[in-house]
Amino acid sequence: MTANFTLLFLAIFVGATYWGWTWPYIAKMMPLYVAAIPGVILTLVQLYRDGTQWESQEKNRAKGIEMDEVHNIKLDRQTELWRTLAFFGWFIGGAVGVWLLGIIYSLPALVFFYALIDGKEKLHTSLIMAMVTYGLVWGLFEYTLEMRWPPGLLIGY
Amino acid sequence: MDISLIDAAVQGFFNLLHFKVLLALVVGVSIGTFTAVAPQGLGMPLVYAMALPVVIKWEPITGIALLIGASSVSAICAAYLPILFGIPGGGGSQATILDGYPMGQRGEARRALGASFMAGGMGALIGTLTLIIAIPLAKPLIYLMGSPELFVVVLWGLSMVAVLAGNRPLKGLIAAAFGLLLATLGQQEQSGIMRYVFDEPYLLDGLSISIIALGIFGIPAAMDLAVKKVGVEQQPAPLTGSLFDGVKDTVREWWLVVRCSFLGVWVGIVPGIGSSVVDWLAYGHAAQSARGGSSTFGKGDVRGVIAPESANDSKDGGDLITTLLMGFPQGVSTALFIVALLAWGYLPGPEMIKRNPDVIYSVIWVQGISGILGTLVGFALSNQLAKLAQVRYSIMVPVIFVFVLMGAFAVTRDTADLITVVVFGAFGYFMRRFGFPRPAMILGLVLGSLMERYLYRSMMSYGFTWLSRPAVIVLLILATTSFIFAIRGKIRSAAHVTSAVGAAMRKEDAQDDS
Amino acid sequence: MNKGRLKLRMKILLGVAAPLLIVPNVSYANEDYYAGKTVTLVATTAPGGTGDLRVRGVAPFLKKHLPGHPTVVIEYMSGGGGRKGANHLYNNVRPDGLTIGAASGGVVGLAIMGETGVKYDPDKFIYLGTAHHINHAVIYTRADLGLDSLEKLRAKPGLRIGGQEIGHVSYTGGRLLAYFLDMKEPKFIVGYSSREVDIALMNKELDARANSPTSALRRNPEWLEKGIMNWHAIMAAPKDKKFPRLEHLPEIETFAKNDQEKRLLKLWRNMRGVGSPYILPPGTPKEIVQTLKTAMNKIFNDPEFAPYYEKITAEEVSPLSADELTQLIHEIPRDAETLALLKQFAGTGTLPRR
Repeated sequence: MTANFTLLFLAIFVGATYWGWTWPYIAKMMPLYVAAIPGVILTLVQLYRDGTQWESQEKNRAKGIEMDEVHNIKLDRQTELWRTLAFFGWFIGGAVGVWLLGIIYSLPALVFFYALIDGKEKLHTSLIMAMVTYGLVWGLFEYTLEMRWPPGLLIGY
Repeated sequence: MDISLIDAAVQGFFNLLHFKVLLALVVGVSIGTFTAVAPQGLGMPLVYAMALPVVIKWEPITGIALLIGASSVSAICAAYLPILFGIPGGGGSQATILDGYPMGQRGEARRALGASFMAGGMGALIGTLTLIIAIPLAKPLIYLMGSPELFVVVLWGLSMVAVLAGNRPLKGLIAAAFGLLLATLGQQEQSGIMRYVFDEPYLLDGLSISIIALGIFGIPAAMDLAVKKVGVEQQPAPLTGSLFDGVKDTVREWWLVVRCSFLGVWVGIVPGIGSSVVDWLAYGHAAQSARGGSSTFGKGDVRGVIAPESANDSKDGGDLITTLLMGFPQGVSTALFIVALLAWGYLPGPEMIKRNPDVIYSVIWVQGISGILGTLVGFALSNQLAKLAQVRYSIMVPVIFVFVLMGAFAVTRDTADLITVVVFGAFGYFMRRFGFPRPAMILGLVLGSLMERYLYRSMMSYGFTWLSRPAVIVLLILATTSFIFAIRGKIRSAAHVTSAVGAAMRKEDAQDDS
Repeated sequence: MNKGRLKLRMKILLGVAAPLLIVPNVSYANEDYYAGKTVTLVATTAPGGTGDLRVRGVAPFLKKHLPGHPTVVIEYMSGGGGRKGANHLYNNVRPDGLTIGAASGGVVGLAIMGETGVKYDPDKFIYLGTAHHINHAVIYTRADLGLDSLEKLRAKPGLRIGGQEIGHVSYTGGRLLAYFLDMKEPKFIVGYSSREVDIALMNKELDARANSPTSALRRNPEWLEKGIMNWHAIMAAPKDKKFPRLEHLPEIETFAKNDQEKRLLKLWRNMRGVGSPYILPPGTPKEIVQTLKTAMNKIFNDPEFAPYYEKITAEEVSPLSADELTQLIHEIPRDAETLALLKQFAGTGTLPRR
């Protein structure tokens, strides 16, 4: 799986090199010579390491520290996978809702349904959360500050 | 000090001793506190633009109290979001996530908040003091820093990738290269060439750093809570420590605060570097220079909170130096502040120093007082707000959704912003999952366009002769030395780290890789 | 026909016609149309910038002068130099007079120049006017270079002229000025913000700049008063308006050698003269258009408007009415030759030979 993600980086760097190859020097110096071409080389080395499990061997020796949060979820894979997919489903659904229905309706709806269905919160708790969200999105921005949000594709305001 | 300047300082203070001015200051502090915790989209530029038509009708000192009060406090209180939610705060409060959020997750939210507000308050005061003494010094400093010098500074900043890559240098370089590549997206200002735009008007101006940061940090943080079902299946770490612990930490690390504050002031003074860089520079410097930092940074080291917060809050002092003393705004908020000063009949710059020094000192006093007030407000709210770190996921995750989606959509109100935040949210998840350090990518993204711009300007203005400029040589030596120390520190820690933390990480990595 | 049948026909006629006579006149021009409604100003700039301030300078007066005094709100749609907002106004907005575009100045020019990403026809927008249309440009060099005459300026090769980005008005205007002044192999260096150019001039990283004289002298009045810069020529937009304190400078058109060059200047001046126009989507009913045009004229003639606008924006008011603005846009030269010539100045190649 790690190798797949490294492959994604490789594809991005190769694509960037390809698309930028015909640009004048001033335009391609940074994206190609500083970023993409070194990126291709680095990802090839990383792919080799991923393929030969280099990092797990290297781990036997002492090392520095992780400079980013460590992925430390301790669930069985199946559960982790389903929950991750569910999470992204909600998040992407919320984004789609903003696009289709507009932010004023979709964000309170997202909050309400997530709290109720995934979070198994009580109905009144979910409703209160949705109302607070509505108060923020519509009450603060549209009503008080008079800053209009764009309407959704399906619903205009 | 010149006697007349002392008179001006005293008069500037007395200008504030009116009920309306104090009331305006309180209102400004309240607005600043609110914008600090509100979703992005309600930042200082918008607050200034909305307040301007109102405040220009007021007495100038009253208007100054509101505007400066709001912006000063907004910077200090911006640490709530990174520490409690793992969402980047406004420009200048992104790096705080790296150590602030882990502290919050292990129950030390109060300590982290205490440290951030104390550091912020101290930083704001140092920025204010620098503003006072800067009057004869600012001009030569600004004119010293041309494009070649700024290029070397940015290069030094990029060398911090070596630190921010931690124990995965190759993946860190890949992430940084990706960030540099993203920075080039859009129409290049030097050539007009559309780079990776594919005829999409949305991409003409490139991708917004704030949307990328929201997605790449905010979504994995929320996902963590949701997948682990924190508060339901997995209990959050109990709250430990107190605000006062954070205060003590900050006082103990006073020299770090001073160094990072001066770094912030300097970024504020020098045009072009920008507020989105200051916290990363301070964090990287702290990680390089703090004793034992290579062992603990990124895992909830309080110094990783102190450094960016003190730099972020001292930067305002630097901004005001160029705004008031030179008439050069550094960002949208200070540009709007100049508009307000002009509307009140003041001409920012040398003229204002000559004719209205008392007003300049009123601004300085407001900056200092609101820094203290902001710190106190932060302390007052922190105890209760720290409990948010204990709230179960079913409430926290929707809150983060709202912040991320509203914050992303508010940038340009384009539905493509939603696609961007979703894509980078997924990217952030995978980057964390497979060990590609996100800070390195953000550093590349933030510094990439600056590097290209300064290099271009240097070459066009000077050819290769810019390499022989004295300030460039000095900065290159400093940057190289800093880089060598960082590498040497990593090599040493590679030989010597046998701590339980390191062993636990090795165990986790082995599980992740299997 | 007997009288009885005539009476019956008259009754039928009246019975049919009467309801039509008593139906109220649903004219858009009356107060009821806007009363209780919300007018949205779609700003094609980001919140907090100069463009936003210009819109905020007008918005309260729009509420004041529109019959019915509707609520006026601002919606932001920045991106692509105004293209995104203009595309939206042209293609997606209902033409009912409740959405008005507050466009940035480049919106017309980008379309005329055939830039990518333009999905609107600027001639089909309905223009309501602009609060400012005077946009002069002046070129100046550092006094320490000793270029205190046009001859010396022309003789000095390789002058480094600063600008913001390729295609920006500071860049294109600078290249036009350098061309007409026959400067020798000037070097245009972009990537500076407006303030950074000033600093780069003072620390000798740059030699010259083309800029609005209003902005330049507001920021640095001593540059003229103390002779820190040498001022060489002005490109007035509109041509007949002089800039006080720089009246002695030659107008750039005096250096034009042929009709083609004069047409080029007219193209540039008219594009600059568009200012920040207020626009309606095509198809907006005539009555609404007239109501809005009347309101805009009232705004520009309101004695409170100019002081308020100038306070908010730190810019002088120089309004153009709807008709004047529309006329100006229609008069923008569109011939392929002139447009191609202007594109050379907006691009990166060397300046054309004269």
